[in-house]
Amino acid sequence: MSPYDYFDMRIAQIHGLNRAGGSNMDIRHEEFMAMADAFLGPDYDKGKLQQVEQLQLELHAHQARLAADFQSRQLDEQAFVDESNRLSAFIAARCEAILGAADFHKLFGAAAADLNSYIDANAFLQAV
Amino acid sequence: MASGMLTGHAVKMVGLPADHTYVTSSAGHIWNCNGRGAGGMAICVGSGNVDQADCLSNPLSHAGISYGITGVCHQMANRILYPAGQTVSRAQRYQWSCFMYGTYGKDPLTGGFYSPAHAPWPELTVCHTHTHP
Repeated sequence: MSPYDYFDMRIAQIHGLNRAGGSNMDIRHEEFMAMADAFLGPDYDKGKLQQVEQLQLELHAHQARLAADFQSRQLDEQAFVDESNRLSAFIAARCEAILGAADFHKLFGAAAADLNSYIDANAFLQAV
Repeated sequence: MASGMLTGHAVKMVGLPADHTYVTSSAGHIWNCNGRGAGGMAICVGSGNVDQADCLSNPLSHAGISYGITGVCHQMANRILYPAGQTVSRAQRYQWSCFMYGTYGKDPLTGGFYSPAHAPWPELTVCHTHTHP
């Protein structure tokens, strides 16, 4: 089974896509562990994974703050996109520092430097 | 209930790190997910209720996702593909969008990840019972 097939299988289990339902769980954590198990293997350093999960929570907290600033018009569209992309690149670089370049690439399918401009300004402007 | 095939597509975008994704159906729908709705390659396919997928795509093929806030095109595509049990996980840079927004996007109020089984997004609740006359 390829890592992608394993990842898909775990995601299907988490979200009940096989119609089997499921129990209460922390979806974010379960999805992260599915991705880590699939692409880094089930025996990967749990300490490093916990540090990356902590950064994920930090990312989400900052994303929420940026969204609130955008909705209250403290940030305009371009500033929101720029700040969001800066945040994404910053967190990606910190995750890469924890995992190392090779394992970061395994987990996320790219180098941190290749995750710049993740949010497309044109798509954002088209959507709002 | 119109059963049919739902296909997820990935398109490389010049100057952007991630593939754009969109969804089509065997009934002729093209849900462009806030971007291009043509080209690229098929990355997943499965059978499902096309009427439910069409319901889930609303409004405007954004599927209830606020682009850049609660998800990107990957989460829009995953919501529309839900009736087929497929995701666009083979899109380039997909894992990073999963890390930021989850498989089905984030709740704008709580920041929690949505899940069909555990925390359904509002449109899914509506579209679960949706049928065309």
